[in-house]
Amino acid sequence: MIVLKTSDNETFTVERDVAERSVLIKNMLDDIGENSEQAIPLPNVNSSVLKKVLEYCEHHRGEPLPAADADTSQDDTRKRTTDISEWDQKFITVDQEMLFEIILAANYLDIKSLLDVGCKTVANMIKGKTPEEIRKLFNIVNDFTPEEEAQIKKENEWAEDR
Amino acid sequence: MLLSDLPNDIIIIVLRNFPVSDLGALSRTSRLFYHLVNTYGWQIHIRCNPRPSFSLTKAREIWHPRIRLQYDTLSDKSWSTSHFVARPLSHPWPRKQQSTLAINNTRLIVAAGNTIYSYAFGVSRASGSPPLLFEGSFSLHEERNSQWDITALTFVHDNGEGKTLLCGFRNGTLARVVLVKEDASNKLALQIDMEVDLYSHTPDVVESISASGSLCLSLSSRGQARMRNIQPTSYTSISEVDLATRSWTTYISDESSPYVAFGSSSKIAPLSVYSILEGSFSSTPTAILGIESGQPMSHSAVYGICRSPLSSPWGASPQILISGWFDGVVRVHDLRSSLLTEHLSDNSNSSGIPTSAAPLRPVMSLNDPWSIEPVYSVSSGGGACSHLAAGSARHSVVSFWDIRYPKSGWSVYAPGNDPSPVYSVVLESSRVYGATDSRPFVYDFGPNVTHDTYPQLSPSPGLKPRRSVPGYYVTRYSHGHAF
Repeated sequence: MIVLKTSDNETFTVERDVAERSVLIKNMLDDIGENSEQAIPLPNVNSSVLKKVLEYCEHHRGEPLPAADADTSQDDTRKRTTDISEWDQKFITVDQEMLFEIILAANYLDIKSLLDVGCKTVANMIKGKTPEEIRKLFNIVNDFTPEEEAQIKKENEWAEDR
Repeated sequence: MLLSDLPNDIIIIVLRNFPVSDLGALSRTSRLFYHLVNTYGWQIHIRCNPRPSFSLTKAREIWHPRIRLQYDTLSDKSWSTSHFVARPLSHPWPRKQQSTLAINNTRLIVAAGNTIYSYAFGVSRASGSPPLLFEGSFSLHEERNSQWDITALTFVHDNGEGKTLLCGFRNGTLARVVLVKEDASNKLALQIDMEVDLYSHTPDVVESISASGSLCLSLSSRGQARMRNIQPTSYTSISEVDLATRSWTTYISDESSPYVAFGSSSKIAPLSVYSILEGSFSSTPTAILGIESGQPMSHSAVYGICRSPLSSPWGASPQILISGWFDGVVRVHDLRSSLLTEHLSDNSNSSGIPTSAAPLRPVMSLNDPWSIEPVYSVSSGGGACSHLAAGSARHSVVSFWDIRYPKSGWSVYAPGNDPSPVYSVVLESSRVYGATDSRPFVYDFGPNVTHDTYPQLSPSPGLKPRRSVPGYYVTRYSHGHAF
């Protein structure tokens, strides 16, 4: 068993193979050796987020980890943004605040598949929306002047779907 | 926490999953996202969706990523609707002759008879279409002697200078041809380096030459293949193999697990693959690539070979090979697959091929159902980087397939309708260069083609200019459904 300590000083005791879904934790464990009783500090993750992340790791334990140098360009692009498994989709149905926290934590803990699910979820939220709809969705303030807005619309006309 | 609170390196990962239309919409929401999309978004999309081309390379180096992606997006749209501009690149040559093309990032070379015609790739500002400029033509031999006709041509490694050709002649000679710009006039002058004469195929015809990295491969019509490393190496620099059959074409892949492929009229192995180890051929073929199961191979031949497009359903692996066959079929073989054809029951053991070299079945076969003509040339690339082009042996027809939708192919005649084979075809992201026995031509699927993008030609019989676009009328037809 491994002990993890969050930014808000909570400790989580988890099985090693669950914790090792995180490449960061795996590398730390490799460094400090097998028999350390020490808690591993995770100063960038709070307890509510870590709880969520560990739920993900628990569910996916035992699955093969993606190769560290997996080529992200060619083969990834053909996967459509919608291909998130049903469990993952349910898992990631959280409020925006939590979604961004999970993405940050997955990036920090180096859990590639979770980072992927998070990023795809954001992409899916934006998919097909107009600029105004995106602003509303993410609370983005429109700070363009009307002239700039017209100019940028023209500049990007080619990118519109039809 | 807001989306805009995420650090840039995470936003960049998020943007990786965005289609072009969503990038456009996001960049219009606020200054911050405009900046992020312009700095990273377009660039990431380009990196994940490469559209390799030769003639656009220089222009793309100076284009802003948004302009590059705009060009790619509009080209892809034109491919999906079969919209293009057709232009001959010259008037018909004085006499009909076999032609061949060679291309690199600097220029397109067309060889016909013993003359080479050079077209340089220009640079355009903003989103204009980068022009093609005729530089001049040069005879490689003084006499009009068909023995000195150029029969094979390729650019070879010259430390990135891109001005060195390896040229094969009907009389078997191999010559290095270096293109040099004269200082003062900026006019192209020609220097011919005949040193390599030492390695001729005389008295055979040099049928095909290909190069990859520093490896050069030449093949004679009687099946003598020779591979050389033109850079100094620690191992043998010359390797030879005798196919002992009428041979047509070569392909060399010097990426991971390097190999060469030969197309011939062999009754048992018209398409054979030899792996390369330390600059030498394997002693026997590592694979024989065959046709669909249950059909005899004895009346076939392979005339054209290329790699698969990067976005093929089998991935971007260089181990996927495209070939054009005598029976008019374009076949796709995956060297990693194990789909061996069953031995033909009657004479399997008399053929002498060991079981390990039983022919590999194609993973896909494509053909123009309205044509029974052989395929002379193949190339890959095009829209979405998922297209194949095949030049037919007659009527100057070029066929296209998006290999994600293999049933939706279509064909088009070259401008001028020359009653000729398409000897050579080069497919780029947005442009297709081809050559008949009378002239070179281009189909351009990219945006903003003007009259000046390609050399202007005076009115010519058989060519009808179109009113709406700066090209000529060509006849095209769909393989299945009507356009």
